Parts: sequence; structure tokens; C-alpha cells
Amino acid sequence: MTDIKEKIFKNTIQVLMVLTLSILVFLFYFLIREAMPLFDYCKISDFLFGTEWMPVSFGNELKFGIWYFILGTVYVSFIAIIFGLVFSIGIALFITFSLNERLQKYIFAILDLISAIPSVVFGFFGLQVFSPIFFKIGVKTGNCVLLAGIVLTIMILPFMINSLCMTFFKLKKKYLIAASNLGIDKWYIIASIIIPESIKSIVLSTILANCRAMGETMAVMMVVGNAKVFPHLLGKGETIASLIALEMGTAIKNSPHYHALYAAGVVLLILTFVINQVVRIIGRDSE
Amino acid sequence: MKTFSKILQIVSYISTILVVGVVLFIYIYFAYRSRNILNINFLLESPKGLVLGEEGGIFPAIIGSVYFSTTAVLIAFFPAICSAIYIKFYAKKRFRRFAHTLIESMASVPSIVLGLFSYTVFVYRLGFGRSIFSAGVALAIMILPFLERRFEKAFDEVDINLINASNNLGIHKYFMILRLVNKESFKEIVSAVLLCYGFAMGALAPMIFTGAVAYSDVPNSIFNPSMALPMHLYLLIAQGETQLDRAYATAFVELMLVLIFNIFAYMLTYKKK
Amino acid sequence: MNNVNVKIENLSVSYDGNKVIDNINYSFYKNEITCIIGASGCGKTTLLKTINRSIEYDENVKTSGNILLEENGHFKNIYDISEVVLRKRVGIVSQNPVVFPFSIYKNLLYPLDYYTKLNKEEKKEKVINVLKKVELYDEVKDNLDKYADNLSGGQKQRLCIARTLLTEPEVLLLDEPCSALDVKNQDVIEKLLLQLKNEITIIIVTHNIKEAEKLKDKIIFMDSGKIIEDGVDIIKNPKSVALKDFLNY
Repeated sequence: MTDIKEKIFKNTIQVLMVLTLSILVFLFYFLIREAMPLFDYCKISDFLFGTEWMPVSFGNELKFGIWYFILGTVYVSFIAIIFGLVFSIGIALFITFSLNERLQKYIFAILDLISAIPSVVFGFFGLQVFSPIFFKIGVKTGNCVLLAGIVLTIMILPFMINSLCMTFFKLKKKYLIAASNLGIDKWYIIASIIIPESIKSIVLSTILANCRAMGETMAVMMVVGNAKVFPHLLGKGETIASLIALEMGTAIKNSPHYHALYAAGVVLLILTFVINQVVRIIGRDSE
Repeated sequence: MKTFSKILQIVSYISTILVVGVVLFIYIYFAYRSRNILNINFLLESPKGLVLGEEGGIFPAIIGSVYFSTTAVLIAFFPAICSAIYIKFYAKKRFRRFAHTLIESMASVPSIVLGLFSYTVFVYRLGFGRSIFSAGVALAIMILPFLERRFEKAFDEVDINLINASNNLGIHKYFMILRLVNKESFKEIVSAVLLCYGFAMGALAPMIFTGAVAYSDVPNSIFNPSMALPMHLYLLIAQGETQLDRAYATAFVELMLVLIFNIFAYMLTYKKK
Repeated sequence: MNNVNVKIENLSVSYDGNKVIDNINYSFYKNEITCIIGASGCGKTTLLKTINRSIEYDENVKTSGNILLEENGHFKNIYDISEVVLRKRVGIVSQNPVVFPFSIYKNLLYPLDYYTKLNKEEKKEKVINVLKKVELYDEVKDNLDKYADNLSGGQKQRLCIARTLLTEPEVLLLDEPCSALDVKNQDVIEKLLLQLKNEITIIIVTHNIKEAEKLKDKIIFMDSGKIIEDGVDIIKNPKSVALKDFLNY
């Protein structure tokens, strides 16, 4: 009797598990399926490296170049991880080495809260608080790539800090007491041992954070300006995610426009997926 | 090296203060800006006015958001917990690693892409149209990896000696999981669900073209589209200066909901050693 | 030969490639208490845990050889029995008692609910009987609903033995069951084991030579993964240098 129950239990779980793990396959399948028809209208190279985006025809030729959007995506997320790097290392060090366990818990709770704050709210915050500052220093409308990067920094911090803290906690256990017994200052140990030892995991977690940053939609869309131009630090730009969010609502089903948006989605998906796998493979070697 | 260590110390203090400061600032500033709008009527009335949202409140959006999140959590819960149980208690090392890779990859899928997926499969091919259900699926896929990871972490915290003691009695895993593990990780599981519930409430990208609309009544079925708080907020912001105070108030309501869910989730797991 | 209950043939066990049990052959007899002694690290606990395959909780363990378990006059290889069934038939009590985070009563219901379909009264009767058997009933009869974690170490150990007995094992393995207990509790458990051996086969790992002498029908002395000496009187008449060293120590 118990054997049968175990079997039923295990099989049920197995089925749902397999279903969960195969979601990724479905995701790729359906997106690619919707994206493929685009390439009847447009070559892959023109799609990826083209610089003009004219998805709806008013008598003119249709153009589906997403190169500027790819650049915009990379640019914005790059700014975010550069700022994020400084802040997350700083905060992770502070959490690991300056706080007792109770205070650590409070900070982690605050980080959980940050990652739960809706991205629209962050976008709104950026728009209301930072945008006027940029406007004053001469950026038209105040919205720009740098602003998007700053807003994005706050949003990816919890993720970066969590993964850095894991590394720092391990290293702290390994070295701090031994080194402290030699009478060396804590921050000297951090600078001379902990940081150099964790360079690799800092790099890996930064790249993973970059994945997150590239996929972020709403907050970036609200402050990046959304102009289909070559992105500049203090100029407008547009990311793949915001392109999809802005135009999906108006794209007619099965039109080239619609397929192009799916193709853009596939590019975004592959970009994050590939980066993720590469980091994972490099990270595994070091284990 | 001496200067480097000094710099690190200063950076660490400043960045922590700055980030905690930003969170505090957001809450205080948004509370301050919404002081004139926020009252019980704002919470309990439907939006009105020539330009929608100009008058009235956000009640249908709040209830809509509850619908969206509840649907998402209901869809995601069983796949997530079953995967966590299988990976933790049944899988061998190699499979566990493989499964973790997949789950992590799933977590890194941009949420807008999930919106695209749900749009082609549920809105379009399966004919559900723009609905709470279609958006719920996208939201569910978004929170699934987070739920799974937190569940697995909860199971990891169950004392291995208890698990071995149960195995030593010659008792099948299903009984152990239902009776012993269930009791040990119940609080963590609820806490994880609460966190993800709040997370799903704030996400707009997966639902922006799969289920959220500018105006609807309080939804009566999950197969209809509905208003949602982040969508309503986004539209208010898009209307520019005239609606700012209402946007602040709506954002503040969202912030408070997130805070409440987080506090409950935190309290549930806080007392554990 | 008829009375052999567990027979070990050419058993070797390795952890991450290190041999901890090296080609052991031995038979354990029914209604006997066999004590395994030896210095720490000699492989005695590993041997014990191999018999109910609980050693395999660690994925890095590799075993070779056979362990045969008597079943209606025949022998069956334990690797042909499902682990779950095997662990019911061969129960184990570990050095540090692990009580479940339930009440005392629920701790004992755990195996009962799983194995039996008795009604409430019958279950209660079984629980009371087993508690009397391990001489715990008088101490806890008013507190059955209290959290089991609040019991003393000795009480917990007896509760764990009671819990294992409820699965009605044929063989009972004990890993230093008394090492963390005071003399009074040791006496209670030793008395209980002597009484239990009329029903089941008992194999006990201990470092306490006095205890082994008190309980023994047979004693095995192990060193570096091998059985060096075995028999009834090996402590009084040690032959090998290793055992002499161990006894002096």
C-alpha cells in the first residue's frame, strides 16, 4: 500500500518537474516560430545590423534594423553594472565585515524590499527626481541613457549584493580569524586578501547581473527617451525590451512588424541565455 | 595597499548609507507627495473623469492586481514545489546540477519575453484573448524559478539528521515529506509565496499586452482583462503633469502593499534560529 | 548455522576511494548480542551502517561484497531488497538521538501511522506498551503531548529506541547508544537490550569495554577496517597485539 502511494507521489512530482524544466524549450520554440516569417521580408544580417526601423509602411520600404536597440540595451546595462559594481562591493563588504548577524538580517530584508519594489515605481522615481537634474545640466527633456543606467543600478543591486555576499562570507570564514590573529587591520585584510581572492566571482556575478539589466523593461523605458538613434551617454536611446513593450500593443497580428518584434525578443532571449551559460561554464571550472 | 583599504572602507560606508537612504527617501517622498490624495475614498472608488483617473480612486486596479497575482501564484505553486521536492529529495547529483542550470536560465529570461510568449500561445493561438489568465501564466513563469529556489532553500534548512532518522525507520519519502518536511518548512514556504506575490503585483512587463487594460470594472472572471496597479500608474504618469499627485498616491499604495508583503514574509522566518 | 540471521561476505566499503572496510566475512546469530569494539576510525560504525544501507546517504560511498539477510530459512541479499523494506527489517539507533519536532506521542505515531491501519485506541495501546518496554512510561505519561525535544538525553535515546521498535525490526543496530548518557540511563538501556535479545538480533557498536562484557554473547574487535579477533572471551584472553594495545589503552 505504501509502495503504491510512494509511486503515485513520485510520479506526480516527476511529471510536474519535467513540465517546469521544459518551459524553457517551449519558450524558445514558440518565440522562434513567430519570429521566423520575418526573414521572408528581411535578411538576418539586415535585421541584426541594420540601423533603420520602419516597421509600418506608409508607401515607403519596410526596414527592420535593430542594431541601435541592441547597442542601447548593451549600453544601458553596461552603465548599470559599472555603477552597480562599486556600490555592491561596498555594501557587500559592509554587510559581511561590519555588521553583526542581526543587522545583517535587517539589511537583507531591505534588499528583498528593493527587489520587490515595482519597476514602474523606480521609473517614476527616476523621472521625477533625477530627470529634472539632467534637464538643468542641458539634456533635452532630461531623459537619457545615463539616467536609465542609474535607475537600473538600484534595481540590480540586491541581486549583485546577494551573490557577492555569498563569496565574501566564505572567504571571511577562511581567512579573517587567521589573519586577525596576526594583528592586521580588518580593512587591510579585505584589501590585500579578500578582494584579490574574489575577483573571479565578482566578474561572474557582474556578468549575470548584466543579464538581468538587459531584460529590465518598464523602468528603463520610462527614462531612456525612446528615440531610434545611436545611443549616447547624455542622449536618448532605446532598448530591445522597451521596443517590444512600446510597439507590441499596436502591431497587427502576423504582420511583418509583429514578427519583427518576436525576432527582437528572440535576440534578447538568446543574448541573456548565452551569457548565462558561458558564465555558468566558467564558474563551474573553478569549483 | 593602505590607501586602497582606506578607500574600500569609505566606499563601503557611503554606498550602504546611500542605498538605504534612497529606499527611505522613496517611501517618505512618495508619502509626502500623495498626502492630499490618499484617503479611504481613493482606495475604494473607481477611476472617473474626462481623462481617466482624473477623479475617483483605484479600487478596480487594486482588486485587479490581486487577481493577477493570485492567478500567477496558483499556477506557479505546484510546479515550483514539485520541482523543489524532486531536486532536493529524489534527484542524484548530476541531475540536480542540470536542473539548477535550467532553473537559473529560466530566472534570467527577461520578463517582456515572457509577455511575448504568453501573447502568442495564450492570447492568440489558444484564444484566451487579453485576460487575467493569459497574463497570469506569464507572471507565473516569471516567479516560478524564484519560488523554486526559495522552496529548495527551505528544504535545505531541514536538519539532515531528521531526514536520515526518518529513512532509518524504513519509511517512504512521500510520508516523510508530507509529515515531517512539510511541518519543518511550512513557514518558509508561506514566506516565499508572500514575497513572490508581492513581486508579481509590481511586474508590468509580462502583462502589458497580455491582460492589463486602461479601464475595467472590478473583474468577475479570470478570463476577462482587468486593470492593474502598475498599469494604472504607468498610464497616469504618461498623462503628464496634470495627474502627478494621483500617480504619486497610486505608487505609494503599491509601495505599501510591497512593504506589507515583505514584512509578513520577514516575520514568518525571523524567529527561526 | 541455522541460527544465522545476517551473513556478511567479502564486504568492502570505500569513501572517496579510501577503503574503510576491507574484505570482511562474518555471521551474526539470532537472539544474540554482538558487540563491536575498536579504536575510533577502525570502521565499526561504517560496518554497522552498511548493514541497513544507511551508509549510502552519502553519495561518495562505494560498497562491494554481499550482505545476506535470513528470510523464512533462506538468505536474501540486502542489495536485492528495496532500501525502504530493508530499513524496516533492520532498524538502527544512532549515537545522538534524533527526535522529530513533534510531541512525544506524535513521535511514536510517526511509524505507526505509516505502517499500520489501527484505530486510535489500538495505536494508543501500542504506544503505551512500547513506552513501558523502554521504561519511559512512568516518566512521561502525563506529558505525552509535550514537545519531545524537551526530554533529557537519556529519555530521548529511549524514545528513539521505542520509535524504532514500533517498526518491528528483525535486527536492531545500535551505534554507541550509551556514550552520551549517565550511569543510571546506561543501566536502563543495557537491561532493555538484554531483554530484547529474546525477540531480535542485536548488533551494538561500543567503545566501552565494560559495557561490551556485560552485554556480550560475542565480541568482535576491529582494526583498520578488518576483523582482528572475534569470539566470546577475547577480552579476557586477547591474542593479537592490536587488541592488547587497545585494552591497555
